Amino acid sequence: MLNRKGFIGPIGDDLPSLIPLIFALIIFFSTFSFALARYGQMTSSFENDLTVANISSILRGDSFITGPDDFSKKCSTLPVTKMKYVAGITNAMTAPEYFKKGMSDPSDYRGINVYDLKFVNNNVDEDDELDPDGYNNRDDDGDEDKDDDGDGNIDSEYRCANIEKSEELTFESSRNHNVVYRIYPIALQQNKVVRPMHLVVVAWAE
Amino acid sequence: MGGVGEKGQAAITDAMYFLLIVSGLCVFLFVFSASYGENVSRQINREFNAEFTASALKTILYSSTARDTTQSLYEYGAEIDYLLAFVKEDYSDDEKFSDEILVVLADDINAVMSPYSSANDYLFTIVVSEDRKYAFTLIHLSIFTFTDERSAEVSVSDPAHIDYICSSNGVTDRKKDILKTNVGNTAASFSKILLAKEKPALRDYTTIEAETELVVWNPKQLPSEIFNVGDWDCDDLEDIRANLSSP
Repeated sequence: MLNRKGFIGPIGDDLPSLIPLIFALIIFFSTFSFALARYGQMTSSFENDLTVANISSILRGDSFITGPDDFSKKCSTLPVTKMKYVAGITNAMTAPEYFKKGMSDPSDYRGINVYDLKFVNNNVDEDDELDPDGYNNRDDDGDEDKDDDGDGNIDSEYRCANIEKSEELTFESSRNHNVVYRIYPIALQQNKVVRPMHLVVVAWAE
Repeated sequence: MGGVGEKGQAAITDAMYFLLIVSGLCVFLFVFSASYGENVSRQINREFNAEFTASALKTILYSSTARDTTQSLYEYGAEIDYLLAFVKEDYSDDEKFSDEILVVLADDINAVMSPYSSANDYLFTIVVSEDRKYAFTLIHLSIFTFTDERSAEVSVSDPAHIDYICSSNGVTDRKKDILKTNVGNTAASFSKILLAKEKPALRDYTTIEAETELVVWNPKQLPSEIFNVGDWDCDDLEDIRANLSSP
């Protein structure tokens, strides 16, 4: 038997069949890894989208905010989430001329910039009139970031976040995160005047 | 006849069949996983569009406006009223809106829709329920042309968008339905409002029911049988604004 041509052995004769078998296994495990990675990626993306939708829905309510107390109450009911988020109300698109008053360089105006969010605040003067010049985070001396109580947050700012201002997203840091943002129209009542504005919600997973 | 050499050939053939079957199944798995979640993503985007449109309509209807249309809502000392009240008052005397109100309404709508307006077209209407008269129609359109037959290259006009205000003579339910049917997927929001009609003899007013609707869609080239400026009797919003400011 050993002298037969082409005969290697009982096992040796099966060795060539291992090549397609190994190919098949490589193809299968590669495809399986791809499918698993894709599933994980999409599941994470859906969770992020649903979290942002949930936050937006609670803050938005019926698209009418009656004042800072109303906004704060809605903000306090937001669920704990593993995503970091910043949400707030801005008039950058509905009143650009007044929004620019709050900018140190008005020529930088680009509408709503999710990497440099500026929210409306509720500064009123001594006659309880809404002061347009104090509107966008400037106090009476023209300085930005009026913070009388020294807690690090701008007084009466329509901002809701689970992070400090120093941790907010920048363009550079956004490259390492999957950022989801949503913008919704919202009506904000200030001193009996109802102004159209936009609710911006930006969230990212660590 | 038969023999040891034939066993090896059978093993390779078996392995080749195995490779073929696994390859087929892996192609199926690859195609499925590559498209996994696309339907859900599309549904999430549709939900967002619907929510944006609903919020936009509510914001427009809740808004205030300065009664002196040369003033802004943010000006110190401006006399402020609800936009709907202002609109109702303007409609009551002659059952149509003045050019001033047309511009105020259009500006408010465009401001609210501004984050969306560069990538979407929309239509806002106020219709008197009783006689289906389109008291106000604003249509925001993207202006572009396909520069090759395969529709792979687009030439965008400057300005890229135009806002048209259409008169009540030119707009009907049928025309609007044809437009909505032919622009693809739309997100729409709808609300009832009240207008008023003067009864001078009685020094009184009649309340009229009206409907507002906001429809949003992705920009699409509209053939003339779907939308035609002349047929819909529309004017450019900027022309109306220019006529207002000229003496």
